[in-house]
Amino acid sequence: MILKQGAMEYFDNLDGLNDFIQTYFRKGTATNNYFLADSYLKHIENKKLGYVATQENAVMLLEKHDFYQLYYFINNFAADLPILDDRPVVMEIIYRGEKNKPITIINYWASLGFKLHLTRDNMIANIEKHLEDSNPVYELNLKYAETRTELLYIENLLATTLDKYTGDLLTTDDLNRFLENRNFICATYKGELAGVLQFEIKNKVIWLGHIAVDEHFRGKGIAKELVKKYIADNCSEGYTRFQLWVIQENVGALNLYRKFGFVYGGKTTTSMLKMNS
Amino acid sequence: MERLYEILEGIRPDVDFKSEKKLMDEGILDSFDVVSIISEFNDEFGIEIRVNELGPSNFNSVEAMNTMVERLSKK
Repeated sequence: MILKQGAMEYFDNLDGLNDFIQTYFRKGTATNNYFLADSYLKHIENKKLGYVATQENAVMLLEKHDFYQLYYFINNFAADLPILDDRPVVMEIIYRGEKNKPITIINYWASLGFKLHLTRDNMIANIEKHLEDSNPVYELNLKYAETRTELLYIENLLATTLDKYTGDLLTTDDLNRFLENRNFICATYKGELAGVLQFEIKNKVIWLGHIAVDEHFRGKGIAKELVKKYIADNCSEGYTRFQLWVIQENVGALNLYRKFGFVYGGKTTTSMLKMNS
Repeated sequence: MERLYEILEGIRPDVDFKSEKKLMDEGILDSFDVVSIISEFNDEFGIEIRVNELGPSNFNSVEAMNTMVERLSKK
């Protein structure tokens, strides 16, 4: 197996993408590509999705800020693998629980210089009733973000708290959309902005997208109150199904979610990162 | 249809595929599930699914998936 430097070709229409998929996504192909039609169309429209290919193997690359997200299509592990090395490359490998962990694939990428980055578990909860408001945090106020000042605070907090490569940093469009849709719950402690929780309704599931508490305000139970409001307000609207991804090593967060009834949802993703230079 | 149920229950044993008719619209199946299903269909039926078919209209129910498989098998 050899990493072979290639030139990236961008997809500019669905026909080209279909040809690519039909050439490289065959019976038995090892892949971490889980795009559906709407995602493909969005990335093609934004001219962010391209590929590098050899005769048997290919990678699709999605441009993100200053790195690539990689989606592989491996048909022959012994053959050349094309890649770009002008900026960091990250990939997510998703699997159904520890017993299905794709060790061979992970070792393959490790042999090509990719390092294990973060592992996240999918957690789900079905919650039908309002939560009791026990042990409130004094001098804490929770509200939906409305102002540009709050939005700027949220943008900075998420950018400095989340993992750059796998934290799904929000674009300006995302930030504005979530503000407009009242998807940001802000925490204020003694009058100062202290944390945020962002959620999104997708197909009747309430996804907890991001949660962050400013380091100066940690240990006060603010995250717990944010999660409580996220669940209680959405329950009030008649929603019952909640989901999120949590970093496996973040025991504090795991335990917090478990207290609210979240259980392992059967899916785990391991990210691997190659920094390049 | 029986083979379809076997494949689907192998991928998501927790889902009642006989009664659910809005598998994607209700968020019961996600993109990982759909692509896992496609891989199995590809292996089992030798069909090639076009990118623009990867959406709810073809994956919301077993009936819709069966219609798609039959249509693509004839090509």
